[in-house]
Amino acid sequence: MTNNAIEANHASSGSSGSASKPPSKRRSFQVAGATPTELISLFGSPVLFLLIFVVFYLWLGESFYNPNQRMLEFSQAIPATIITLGVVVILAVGQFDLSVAYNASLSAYLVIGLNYRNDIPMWASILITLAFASFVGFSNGILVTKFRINAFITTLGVGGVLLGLARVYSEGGQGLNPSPTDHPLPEWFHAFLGDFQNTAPTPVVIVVAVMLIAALLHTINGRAIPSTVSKPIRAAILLVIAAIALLAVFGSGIVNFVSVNVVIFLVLATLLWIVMTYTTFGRNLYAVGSNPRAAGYAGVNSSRYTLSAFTITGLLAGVAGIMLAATQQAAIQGAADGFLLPAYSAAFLSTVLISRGRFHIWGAVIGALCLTYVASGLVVGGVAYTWADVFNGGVLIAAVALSSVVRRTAR
Amino acid sequence: MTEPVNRAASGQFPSTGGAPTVECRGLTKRYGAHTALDSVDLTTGPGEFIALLGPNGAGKSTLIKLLAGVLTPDGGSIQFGEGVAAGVIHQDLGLFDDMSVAENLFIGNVPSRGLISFSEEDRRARELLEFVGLSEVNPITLVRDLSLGERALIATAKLWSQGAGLIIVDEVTASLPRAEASWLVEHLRTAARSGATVMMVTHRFEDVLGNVDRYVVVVDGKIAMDRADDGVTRDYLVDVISSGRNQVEVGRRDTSGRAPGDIVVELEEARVNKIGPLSLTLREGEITGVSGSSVSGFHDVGYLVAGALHARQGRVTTRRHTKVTCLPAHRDADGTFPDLTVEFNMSVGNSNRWRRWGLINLSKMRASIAAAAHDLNVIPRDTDAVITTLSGGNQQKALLGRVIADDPGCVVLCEPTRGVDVATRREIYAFVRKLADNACAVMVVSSDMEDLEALADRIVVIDDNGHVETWIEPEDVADFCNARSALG
Repeated sequence: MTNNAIEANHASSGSSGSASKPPSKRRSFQVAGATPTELISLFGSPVLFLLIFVVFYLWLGESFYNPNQRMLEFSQAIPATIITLGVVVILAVGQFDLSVAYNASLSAYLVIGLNYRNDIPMWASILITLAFASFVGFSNGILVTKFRINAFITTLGVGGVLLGLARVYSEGGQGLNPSPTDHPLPEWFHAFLGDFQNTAPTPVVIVVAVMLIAALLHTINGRAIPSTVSKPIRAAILLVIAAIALLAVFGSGIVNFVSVNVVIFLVLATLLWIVMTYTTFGRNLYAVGSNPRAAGYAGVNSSRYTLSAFTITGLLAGVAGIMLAATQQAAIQGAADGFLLPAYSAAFLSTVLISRGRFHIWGAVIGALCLTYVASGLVVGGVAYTWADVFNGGVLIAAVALSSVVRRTAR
Repeated sequence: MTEPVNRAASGQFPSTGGAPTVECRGLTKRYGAHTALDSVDLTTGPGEFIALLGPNGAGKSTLIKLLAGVLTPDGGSIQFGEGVAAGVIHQDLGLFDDMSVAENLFIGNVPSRGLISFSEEDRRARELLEFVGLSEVNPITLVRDLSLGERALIATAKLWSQGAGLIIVDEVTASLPRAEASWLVEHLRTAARSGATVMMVTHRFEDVLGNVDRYVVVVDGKIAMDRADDGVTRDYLVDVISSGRNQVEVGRRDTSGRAPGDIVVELEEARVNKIGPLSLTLREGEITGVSGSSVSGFHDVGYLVAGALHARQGRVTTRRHTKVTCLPAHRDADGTFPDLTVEFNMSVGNSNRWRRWGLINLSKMRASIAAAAHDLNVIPRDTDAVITTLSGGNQQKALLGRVIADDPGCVVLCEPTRGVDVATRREIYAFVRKLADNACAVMVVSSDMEDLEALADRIVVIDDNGHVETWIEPEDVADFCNARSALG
């Protein structure tokens, strides 16, 4: 298409701007208002993942598209994905937290340990654990904002301390195994927070699914598609995505397998998305992440927002730990230590999946699911599960590389 | 390549016998519809010490960026002499404070291969220090132990050692006290006499008057004057420089016969950084100007009023329920959120305005921000454009939109027209006046006298030590601004 075609597109879409790009920036070749580089950087990774899943379908068929099995994996992936949500918050504010996984591990041990060893009721144990995990995040924030220690060093050190504390508290890594006769865990703890077989009522699932698809389309419309793209093409893209999503949810029959903990997780993610997108607090987090000095001059207190972000990240690590403990129904030292890498991979994937160059809650959730399912597809296909971290590390690098391309084309 | 015709055309620089270091012909640079540099011819020779002068936004920095290769011209050519490169020294100098003079001089350019020979490095460093007339400085001194002027010379020597035959010193003297500035100029001349072309860009005539070989004045993208130092006077330079300024209609606001408005912000004996003690009141509908030398950091006055800085001593009282917003002086470092959209940039700090039950009504916010951008004539119209793709002037207008979006009772504008073309400048002036007419208390903190002349009802002048030098009352503002306009 030539430039004339683009102007025609503009006219038809009724947008008033005649020059939506600075005139000094000449663009020679464009498709639907975007250059090929832009298109690849915008839709490259979603299309790539889609292709992989199509290949899986042709290659593995029913053995991969097995709702029960995939829901088990979703349920298992929840703790790591909640850590990812925390990572998204901390990356949005322009900081780093390497202590999240250790924080989650210690929380997972603590929530059962308090109940098992000290006979503290489970609800109180959960609250204490959440308070502790938030306090860890808050301490990270104080060290970074007040003592001005680099976030990498701070959270690496705090992570080391947490790892050590977990070893001390677990007396050198001994597990705690509550059983019906020995300090039994309350039934609801596993049923609501960790049991993938405890499926939620279908109407609830349908409502949640429809709401999520609406939110997804809304986000893609607002954040992923450049505003230069004309209306019919925009509508076509959204329709295709809606069709894929509806097919994935209703065609696969997965609605009958969605467990309560997955619904709880989705509600949590939705709340976080609303906070990040529709509140002044969330927007200010992104502002501080983009330019803390400018935020200060615009009346946004960078330190306070950085501190809040660290605290939220800590809190989410605590939630992740609790849900992990509920899944395992036992206290195992270091249970979440390995989640650091997949959490960062998914968080960086969020910048290239459904939102251009911005760390985004839904992008991270989708990213985490894609990572999980691609890995499990490979396992189903016969690749040893030990390769998962190699894959996660590779995706992290690829996502960061691609997102920097996105940022560059945005300039 | 060196036809005598060109030399004759380009002015009379002292015959130093060398081939030109750089020859520009018909150099043109456009930003959209705005022509920043219009067919400029300029030739420089080795050993020349040149002052490059001109009002803000005249095209000086565009010329420098073209010479340094940061920008590519839209027309014309730049021809460097054989083995000559251009190097620019900015205000931040680009030195490593914790490293020695010798290490700084040879960063990326170590004189020996393999292991570093310290004796060789020392010898070469002394040669380079000699070149800028700093033979008393020991090469093993840490850069942080040197004065600002000495550091500027180290940066000069570094460029020379890297083969920069054309050394552009960009506004480095602006942050120096007068005495040190003239000391620096003397030494730069030494460097020029040793064979480099040194081009000094400055707003302060005192620093260069009578000390340079040649004056090049850029006004409105054209060379308005290119003359050797044959008795050029200060008044003459002011005339030439202000020749292009009449384009901006500088009608003054008529504030006579108007009752003073309510007090919005009051400073009592306030001190911060170098500023103070300072007492002043900002009233509704009044525009207070703040002027001073950058040595004092006089922008801090504005940041103090806006609450971006907190008073070390004294008091800053703001009327209750009054929002004070601030346009920072340094747009790129302190103003924009670079990778985000125009809409986001304009909404930061204001989004509560569109909040209902704790949630922002995004579509309402979008609509009113788009309307505000339209009112301010921000180009492009699309508020989804990433802000760094806009021209400087349009970025500035978008930031102005942010500052006023939430109906603040007081607005502090630091350097509101920095890096902005004449047309935009006019728009900004009209806009600020309208703001004051609508009972907003406005403070304009600017090193650009044109801003103050066009806007300020009265001016407080801050001296180099941060004290109040004088207050300029309404009837004297025009005279004061004219007298000071060249000083920067």
